[in-house]
Amino acid sequence: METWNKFWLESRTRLFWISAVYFLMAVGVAWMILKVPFIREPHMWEAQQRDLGGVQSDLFGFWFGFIQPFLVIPLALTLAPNHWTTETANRTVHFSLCLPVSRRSETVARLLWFHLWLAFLVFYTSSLLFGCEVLMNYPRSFFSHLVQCSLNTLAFGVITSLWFAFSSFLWDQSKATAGTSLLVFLLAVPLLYKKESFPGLYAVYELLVGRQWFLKGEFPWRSVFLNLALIWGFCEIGIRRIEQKDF
Amino acid sequence: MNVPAIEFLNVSKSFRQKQVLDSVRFTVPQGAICGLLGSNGSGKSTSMKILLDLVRPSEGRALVLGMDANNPAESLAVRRRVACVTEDKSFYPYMTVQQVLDYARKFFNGWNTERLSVLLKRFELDRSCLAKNLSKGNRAKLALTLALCRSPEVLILDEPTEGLDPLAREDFLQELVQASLDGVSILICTHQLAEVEKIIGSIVLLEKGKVLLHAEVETLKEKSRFYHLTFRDQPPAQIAGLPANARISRAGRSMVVSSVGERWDWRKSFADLGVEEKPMTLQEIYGEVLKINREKRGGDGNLE
Repeated sequence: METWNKFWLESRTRLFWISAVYFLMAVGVAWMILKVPFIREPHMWEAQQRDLGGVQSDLFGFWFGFIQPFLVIPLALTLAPNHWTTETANRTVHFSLCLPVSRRSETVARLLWFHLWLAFLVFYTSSLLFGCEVLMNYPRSFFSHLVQCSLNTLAFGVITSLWFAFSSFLWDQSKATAGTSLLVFLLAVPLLYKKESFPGLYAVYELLVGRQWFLKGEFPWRSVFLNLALIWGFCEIGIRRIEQKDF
Repeated sequence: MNVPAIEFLNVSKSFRQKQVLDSVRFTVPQGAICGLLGSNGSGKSTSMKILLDLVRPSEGRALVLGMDANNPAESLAVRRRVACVTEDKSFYPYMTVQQVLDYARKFFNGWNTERLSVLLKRFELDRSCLAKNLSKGNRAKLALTLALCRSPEVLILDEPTEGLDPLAREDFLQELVQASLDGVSILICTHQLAEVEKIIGSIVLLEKGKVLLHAEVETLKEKSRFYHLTFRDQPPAQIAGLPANARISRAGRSMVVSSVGERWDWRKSFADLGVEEKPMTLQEIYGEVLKINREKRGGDGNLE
């Protein structure tokens, strides 16, 4: 608990600001849901079933598939899942490491803390949009909303875990951000192609966010397991690297 | 069995291609105060970091109270029983002094609240001040307070008095003596030799990652001397029978022979000369050992 208290004291101001930014973005999209008449298909499931367009064809798709991913990297930069980089810069790393806490347990605590905040930000802003849909009487199910939020959180967790793994090797926030952003961008390229064509077959994000669930009405177990496996894998790589590092 | 407080068993460390420690081997018995000395870049801080598991050795083992300091399971137990002041002496900038104390306190069962009050009063630390706003000296005071309040069995101190005012230094040295009397083993790394000379029992002198000298201070001082010789004519070019760790410096008709760790029987060669013997301070011993080693470089240079 002490470690969590430290994390809270360290980043409460930044958390406030990033929560405010997320909130304002969600308010903007909510306003669009309430006011803008150009929404073709306000709920994605039907849109996907009738194949009326890509994931970005409606506002929810726009929110989950476009705005939120853009906020994940700044979030990782602001809250730093690898807090050892910040502690090294602050020259407090020796003080922390000389306390009787293992590197693994403190790193795991930080990752857990970070991902809980990530989940909180995704859920509370998305819930605002869900509230607007209910207000507008759009036929969107709560369960569908819950699953979509969970899958997006997991998919973002993959990106931030990747960032964590990068930063444990590069030990520099800007380099880690550049590396992760580049990889995230490259993996997004297949989304621009038809899913039957060569690059489109490798649209990793569609698998991560469980698109087949929206298409077939199935629960995306494969996506859940894939996300969890990737998160665990990237985190484990980073943790092992930190355990072996000389400070 | 009384295990040593600290044991370095042929510890080597390389960073990329650079050898920082080379088969370092020394022991600090329990209850002793040992000074780890050396010039900049000699490997002192790396040795300290190895004991605290901040750095892992490339070869060899470092033991603290019989436990492997770099074994993940044992190093936790080591850190519960060891307190340290590291070279950075930096604290979380977003915490106040009180918050830093509260945070650290919860990790140690033997936290001594009475001692904390005494030290805070003695060092005049403001509990409400943010750690980032502390001066260098006050950060050192906070680091020392944190180290001493843990009731440790071993104290590892890297330049602990750096930035302290003379009064605080005196207070700190008194605290160290008291801790030693209470049975705490202390390894102190410092350049302030004149200051710690009064309290340390033994020294380990490192140079370029190797142990040059490991000796009891009293014995060393007893056996180390400057010999001032004044000749009527030019001094001889060579002197036979000098100890292995001796050095000659000349100035006109005068000559100074400095011998570390071994007395020179000058009467065999210069019975007719009035030779003046002068004892060495720890600072002078340190300087002479380094000079002798640099003159000898090319050989193994080990004076142990």
